[in-house]
Amino acid sequence: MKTADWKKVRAVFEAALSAAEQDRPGLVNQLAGSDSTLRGAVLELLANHQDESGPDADRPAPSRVFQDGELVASRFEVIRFIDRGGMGEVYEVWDRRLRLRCALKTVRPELTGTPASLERCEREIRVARNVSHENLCRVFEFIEHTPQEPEARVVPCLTMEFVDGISLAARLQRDGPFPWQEALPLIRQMASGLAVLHAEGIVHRDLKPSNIMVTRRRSGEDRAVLMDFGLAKDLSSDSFESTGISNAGAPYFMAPELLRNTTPGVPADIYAFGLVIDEMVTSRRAFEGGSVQAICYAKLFESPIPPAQRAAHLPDSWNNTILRCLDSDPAKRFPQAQDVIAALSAAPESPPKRRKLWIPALLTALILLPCILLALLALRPTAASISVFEIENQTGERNLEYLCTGLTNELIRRLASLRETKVIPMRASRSKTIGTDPGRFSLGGSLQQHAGQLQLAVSVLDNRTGSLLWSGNFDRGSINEPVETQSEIASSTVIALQQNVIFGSAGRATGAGVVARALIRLRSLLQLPGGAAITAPPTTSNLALDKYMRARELIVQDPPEAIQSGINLLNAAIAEDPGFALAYAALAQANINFTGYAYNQTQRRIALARQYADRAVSIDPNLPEAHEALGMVLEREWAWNQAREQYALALGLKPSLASSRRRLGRLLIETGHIEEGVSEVRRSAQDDPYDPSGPNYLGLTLFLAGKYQEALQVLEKAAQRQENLGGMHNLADVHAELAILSTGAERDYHLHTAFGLADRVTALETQIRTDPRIRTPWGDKMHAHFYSIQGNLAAAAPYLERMLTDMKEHLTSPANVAMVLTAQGRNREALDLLEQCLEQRDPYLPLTPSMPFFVTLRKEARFQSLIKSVGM
Amino acid sequence: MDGDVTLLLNRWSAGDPAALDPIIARLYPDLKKLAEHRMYRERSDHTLQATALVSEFFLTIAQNQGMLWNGRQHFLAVAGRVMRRMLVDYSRWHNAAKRGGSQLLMTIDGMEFPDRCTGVDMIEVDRALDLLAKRDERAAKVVDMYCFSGLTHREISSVIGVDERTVRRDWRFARAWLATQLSAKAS
Repeated sequence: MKTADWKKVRAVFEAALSAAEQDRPGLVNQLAGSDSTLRGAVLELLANHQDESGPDADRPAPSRVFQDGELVASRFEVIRFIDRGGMGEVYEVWDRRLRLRCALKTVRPELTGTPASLERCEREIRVARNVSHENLCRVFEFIEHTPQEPEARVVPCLTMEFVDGISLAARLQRDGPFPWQEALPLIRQMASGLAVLHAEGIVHRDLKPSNIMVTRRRSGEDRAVLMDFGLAKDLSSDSFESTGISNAGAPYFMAPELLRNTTPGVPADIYAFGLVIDEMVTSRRAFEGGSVQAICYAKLFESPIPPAQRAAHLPDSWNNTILRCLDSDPAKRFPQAQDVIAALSAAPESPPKRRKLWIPALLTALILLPCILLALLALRPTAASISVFEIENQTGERNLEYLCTGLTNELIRRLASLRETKVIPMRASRSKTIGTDPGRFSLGGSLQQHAGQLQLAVSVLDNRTGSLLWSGNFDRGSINEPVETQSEIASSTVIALQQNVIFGSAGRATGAGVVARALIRLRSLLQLPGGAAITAPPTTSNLALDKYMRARELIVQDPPEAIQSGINLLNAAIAEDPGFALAYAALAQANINFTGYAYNQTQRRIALARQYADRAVSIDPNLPEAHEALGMVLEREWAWNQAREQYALALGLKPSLASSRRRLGRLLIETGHIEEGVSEVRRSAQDDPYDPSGPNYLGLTLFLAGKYQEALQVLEKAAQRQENLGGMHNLADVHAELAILSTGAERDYHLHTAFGLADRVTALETQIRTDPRIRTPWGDKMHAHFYSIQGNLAAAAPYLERMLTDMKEHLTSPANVAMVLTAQGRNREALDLLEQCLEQRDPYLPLTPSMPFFVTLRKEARFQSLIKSVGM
Repeated sequence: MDGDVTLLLNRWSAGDPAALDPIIARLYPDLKKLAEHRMYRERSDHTLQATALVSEFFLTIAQNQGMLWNGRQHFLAVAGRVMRRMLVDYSRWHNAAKRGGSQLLMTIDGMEFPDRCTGVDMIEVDRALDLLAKRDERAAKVVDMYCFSGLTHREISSVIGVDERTVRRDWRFARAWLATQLSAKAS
C-alpha cells in the first residue's frame, strides 16, 4: 500500500464499505480498474475491517480454571461455572465433607503470591468469617488447590455461601430501574449489611450492582446480599499496604479519593452505596463517559448530574441524599450507611403531589383503634366518595348547636383522613338538600332529645340505589364532656362506616367483630362516672370549639410543626373566645410538649406554659384540665409537691381524667413511690384506653419501675399501633437495659433490636426536624448509648461527638450525655454533667434517679447529693 | 508559556500538530516521574493498574499550575497524546528490563486496538500511528483521542470541529489501516 495514492485508497475503501459485504470485492475491482496496487491495498484494508457491532465476537473466551465435575482440593465438586469477576472465577460447588452446596471463588494468584500477600489475604478472610449477617455473603474458608499436573501452580480459592439469585446489575439490566418506593426495602438491607461490615472495621471497597445478589426469601420478599468483601481490608490493622490492588475497584463506582490513591475508608463505601442507589432509581448514569479515562476525568473534576434530572418524580430527599453520598469531600458524606437510610426515609411514602395527605393520615391513626389498621391491612379499600351533611340539632336547645357542629366537623375530619376516601363536606343538613347527590354515599344525622335523654342518629345512604346502608344510634344520658363525646361518637361512626360502607360486603363479613367491639365500647362510655346534668359548653363559640378540637390532636403529635399548628389553632380559638380556659390549658400543654423536640427552647416554652396554665386556672378554677396543665408546669419547675397537688385537684374535679392520673402516677414513681405510681398509671390506661399517649406512658412507667418484660409488651403493642418518637425511644431503652442484663444470643437480640429502633428514631427525627441546625439528638443519643453498652466505644465516638456539639449549642440535655458516659464507665465526667444540669434546672435531671441506666452512679455520694438537691 | 496554553490548544484543535509539543514538553517531566514510580512497584498484570495509572496521570496534569484547561474534551485530548507517549516509554523500559524478552502487552480496559488478540505491542502501535499521522493527520488524531483519551466520537467531532460521521469514517479507516500495518509486522 505504500505506493498507492492515499486519497484514492480511502475513497475506494469508503465506497466499498457503503456496499453490501458480498458486493465489496467486485466494487473494488471495478473502481480500482487497472491499478492493482490500489486494489490490493483496499482489499487488505477490507479484510482487516471490523464492523462496529462486535469486535469481541470472535475473541476466544478465556479458558476456565476448573471444569464441571472436577474435584477441587479433594473436597469440592464443581457443579457449574457461574461468572468471572475482578478477583477471579466463581463456581457453584458441592462440599463433599460438609454435604452442602457452596460457592467457590478462585483468587488471582498475584493476590496471594508472596508470603506477605498470602498472610494478608488470610487475615482478611479471618475477619470476614467473623461477620455474619443475612445481608452479607458468608465467607467460609480459604483453601489451596494443587493441580495434578507436575508444573502447575497452586490455585488459591475461597469458599462462601452460595446465594441463589441474580446480581442487582443483571436485575437492573433485565427490568430497568426501580420506582424509588420499591427500591427502598433492598437499599435498607444493603445498608444493614454495610453497617455490620463497618462496625467490624471492614471497608467493602468494591460495592457495585454486580457485587450485590438479589435472592428471593421464602416469604416472597427480595433479599439483598453483599458479596465480595474479600477485597476488604481490616481497618483496625495498621499494616495496610498501598499496593496496586488498592485500586482494583470498578472505576465507575470508585470514590474520587481512591483515584487519588488514598487509603479507602468508610466514606468510599458510602460513595459507592450512593451510586448503587442512583443506579437503582435512575435510567442514566451520574457520570457520563464511555471509557476509563472519561470516567476518571468526570470523577476527579466534574460533579455528578443530579439524579432528579435523570429520574422522573424522584423526591428531593432522594436527590439530595444521593448527591450527599457522592460529595467529592469524604468528610461531607453521611458518616454511616444507616444515616443514608434515615435521609432517604425522610421522603414521604407517597409521590410528591399527594404529600398533603400525609399529615391527616397520621392524625387518624391516633384515636382510631388498632383494629381499623388491621382491617386496612387485611382489605384493600376501594375509593369511595362520601358527602357529609350537618348533624341537625333537633333537641330544641340552642346551647347544643355547638355539639352538632363539632360532631359534623369531627366526622368530616376523621373520614377525610381515611385513605381512599373522598369527603365532600356539605354545609347544610341532609333534610334541606334532598336531590343533591355529589358523592357515592352520603352521611347525615340528627341529635334528638327524648325525656331528658340525648340521642344521636347517624345514617349512611347509598346515593346510587337510594338504600340505607347503615345507621347507628348513640344514646347518652348526659353530656358532661362534650369534647370527648364528640370524639368518641365520631370515631365510632367512622369505624362502623369503614366496615360497612367503604369495604362493602367483604368488610361486613370480616368486620362484624369490629363493629360489635365498637358498640360495646360505646356502651361502656355511657357508664362513665359523673352523672351531672348538661354543663355549660366549654366555649360559646362554635368556631373556637372547632379550632380547639382540631388542635387537641395536633399538640400530641410528633412533628413539631404539628404542635406548632396546634398552637396556632389554639391562639386562633382564644382570639374567637378570650375566655376559653380549655384552650389556654391546651396551650400550656402544647408548649411543654414542644420542648421534647427543641431542647434549646425549654426555658422559654416552660415560662410560656406557666403563663397559659395560670390564665386557664384563673378563668375557670373548676376546670380539671387547667389544674393538670399547671401541674405539668410545676413538675418542670421541680415543685414536686405542688405538682402532685394540682393533679390531685384535677382528679377530684374529674376522676376519669386519665391524663392527670398517669402524670400523677409517674410523678409518684419518680419520687420513689413505685408501686403506688404503677397502679395509678395502670388505672389511667383502663380509664381511657383510647388515650394516644397512654401506652407509651405506661411503658415508660413500667420501665422505670423495673418491670421490663411488661414494659416491653406494652411498648411493642403501642409501636405496632403507631410509630412515634417517644414510644420507639422508650422501647429501645427497655431492650438496651435487657441487653445489659443478659448474655450471648439474647444480649445480641436485644442490642440488635435497640439499634434498629435507634435507626428509626434517627429517620423520624430527620423527617420532622424544623431547624436545620437541629441534627438528630435522640437518634444520636440512642446510638451513642447503645454502642457504649455494647462496648464498641469506637462506634459510639462519632455520635458522642455530635452530642457534645449539640450540648454546647443547647440542643441536647447534658443529662443525655451523662447517660452515655455512665455506660462507658466514665462516672466522674457523667456526674460533672449532671451537676451542670442542676445549675440549669434541666428537665431531664429528675428522671435520673429512677432511670435504670444510672444504677452504677447510685452509690456515689455526689449522685446522692444531686438527688437531694432536686428535692425528690 | 502559561498564558499561551489556550492559544496553543486552539491552534492544535485547528489542525496545527506542532502546537501540542510545547504543552507536552511542559507536562512530560512530571509524568515521567510518575510512570517510573509506578514501574518500580508494578505487578505482572497491567489491567489492574489501568485505572490507577490513568487517574494519577490525570491528577498530575491537572495539578500542573498555570494550565488552563478548556473543559473536559481538551483535557482528555491532550492527556491522550501524553499518555500514548508515556506508554511507549513504559513499554521500552519494560522490554529493556526483561532484556529483550517478550513484549509488553497492554490490555487497558476502555482502549480498543485493531487487534483480535487481547494485547498489542505498544511500540508498534506508536510507530504505526506516527506513520498514519504523516499520511492522514486527522485520522491519527481521531485514533489518539478515541483510544488514549477515551473520548466518544461525538466529543472528538467537537474537539476537532468536523462532523461526527467524518470521525466515524476516520476511525474505521484508521483501524483497518493499523490492523493491516500491525499484522504485516507480526508476520
